[in-house]
Amino acid sequence: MIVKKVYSLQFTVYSLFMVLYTVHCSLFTSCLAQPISSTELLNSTNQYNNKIVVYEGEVIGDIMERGRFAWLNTWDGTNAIGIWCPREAIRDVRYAGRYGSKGDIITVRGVFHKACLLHGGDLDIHADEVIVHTYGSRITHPIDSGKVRTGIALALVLVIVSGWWFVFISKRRKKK
Amino acid sequence: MILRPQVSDLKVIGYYTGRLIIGLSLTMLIPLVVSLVSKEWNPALDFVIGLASSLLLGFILMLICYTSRELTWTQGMVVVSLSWILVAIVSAIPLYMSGHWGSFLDALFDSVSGYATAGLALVQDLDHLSNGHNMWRHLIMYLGGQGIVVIGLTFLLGGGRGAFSMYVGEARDERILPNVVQTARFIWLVSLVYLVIGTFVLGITAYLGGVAPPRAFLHGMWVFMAAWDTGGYAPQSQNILYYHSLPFEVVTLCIMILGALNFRLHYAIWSGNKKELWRNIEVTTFSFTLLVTFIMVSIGVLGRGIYPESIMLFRKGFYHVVSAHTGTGYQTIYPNQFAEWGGLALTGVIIAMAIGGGACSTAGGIKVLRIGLLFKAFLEEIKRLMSPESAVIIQKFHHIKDMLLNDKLVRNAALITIAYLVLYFAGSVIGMLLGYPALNSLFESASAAANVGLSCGITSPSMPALLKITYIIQMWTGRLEFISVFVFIGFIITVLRGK
Repeated sequence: MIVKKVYSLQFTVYSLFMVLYTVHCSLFTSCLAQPISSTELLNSTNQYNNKIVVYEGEVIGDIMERGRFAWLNTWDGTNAIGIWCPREAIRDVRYAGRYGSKGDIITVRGVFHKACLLHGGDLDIHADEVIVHTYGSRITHPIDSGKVRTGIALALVLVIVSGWWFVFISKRRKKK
Repeated sequence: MILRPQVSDLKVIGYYTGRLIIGLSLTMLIPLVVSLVSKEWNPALDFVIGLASSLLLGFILMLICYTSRELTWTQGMVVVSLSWILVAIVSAIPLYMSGHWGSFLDALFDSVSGYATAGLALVQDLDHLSNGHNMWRHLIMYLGGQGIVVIGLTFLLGGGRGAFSMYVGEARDERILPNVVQTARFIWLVSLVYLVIGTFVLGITAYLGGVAPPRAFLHGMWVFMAAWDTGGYAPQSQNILYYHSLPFEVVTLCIMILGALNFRLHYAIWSGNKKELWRNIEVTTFSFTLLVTFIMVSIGVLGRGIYPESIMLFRKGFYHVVSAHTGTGYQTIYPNQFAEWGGLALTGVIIAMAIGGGACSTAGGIKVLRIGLLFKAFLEEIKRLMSPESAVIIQKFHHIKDMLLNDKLVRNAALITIAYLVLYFAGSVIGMLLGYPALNSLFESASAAANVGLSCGITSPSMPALLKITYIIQMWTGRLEFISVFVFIGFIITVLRGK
């Protein structure tokens, strides 16, 4: 009987703990589990304003250092969102996405602002944690042989037609 | 009876159109060089193909239509309208070949948007676009802002009889210098001097903001080109928000305002007549309408508590009002954030877009000169009503010199204003028919027709093809300010139905 009562008490305490944890998660860290897409963030700015969010995407363009902080613009395939974070948090970031490179895929955790007071109303995320998921790399674009053939063919036709024009115009001038 | 144009008329049009196409084609050498320097081989091939195709079209037109005749007034107008269409088509070839545009229609949309200095864009994955293609997008805007005929007059065509009609046909009805070729060269001189200064200032600002040196210089040049030509393209998908920089925004604000000023005003200031800046009807009207629309936007956004601090109101509210009023379309917010601004603020932005910048500038829209003249005419009418019947009421205005307001000026201003309002309305009706909300449709339609480029989210690669075509027509008509487009349509009717 005593053993049963102990188990029952343990179960009650455990259940209570789980309920409290669930409430806590839903109230304060509801967005931590799954990364939120930029579309979701931009379409529900009021819902996520000043809340902690997890956002994932490719670092694009430039890593713009500003004193002890830096701006990263992170593109999730639909939109790019500015991430403001301490410089030491982005030590592992190597590549930013451009024509010639695929940027690092990062996951950031931070506070989303629909109109940031610190940054003149910019929509941004102030991140305290940046994790590099997948490192980017340089991209080599193989030369498109179809384009080469088309280019050569057009250039040859152009030489003939422009030559024809110059002959035509010089004959006209001679006649005059 | 409508007289059908003769073959010789068609030949003149074809010949001069061919010459303009060749001139514009040669500008593709610039992005080609940028691609080669950046070791972007596929983009370089795109420009080789684009350049060869457009040169071929130009030479074929010149061969078939060879003539020694000069252009007449009507022919000059038709050449302008036709050239704008053909040049936009050939310019879209390298864009489409990059693979960043979903269809040729999308690439044509961006090409027309560039030449018209609108700035609405359907490009996909812009953040991975090559330097060569970015150079071309912004160069298109720079060329379109000055005007493709201005380029032709500067480098290719003489100052013959038809030259002035072509110049007027491109919505530049004011001659700065006595000779139209000298005027075209002055426009280029001003633009090139500012290009050097603007690229330097923006490049340094971007560098200090953390952009690496070679990219900072390229970004500075591209953003200058689009800001000066009140276009609105930017090399990154977040537009100006990408830089997260107040100094960068302030510099672009100054360039946008400079770009929206009449070239005659630039000439007056360059000639030492600085007082003109405070007396000119365009400057006073622009200041007044800017203030009114900014007040509307401020009341709208403050009422909703969106930007409670003055710096936020400046960087979001004022920046977008200036961007709209000058017809630039630079944004530091996401398109769907406009929905949070509410009806009053959006109406303020729509009014600013509809009015536009100065006449004979790179800006689009109705133009502040026309709004100023209509306002003066309104005042004159009130004075007339309040005065004795025998009184002679004279209304003056100052535009480079003191001028008398006459009926012809007012009628012209009213006609063009009505034409713009019809164009804004027509585009918004089509938007509504396709299921978009009324205010959003009007916003996007005004943005396209006034060549602004601000978007509240309608413009996207997934929007219906009919709406893409509607905006293309609006951008083309709005940029050429109707007259040459009407002459072009009339000319086609005479070809089809004339006797």
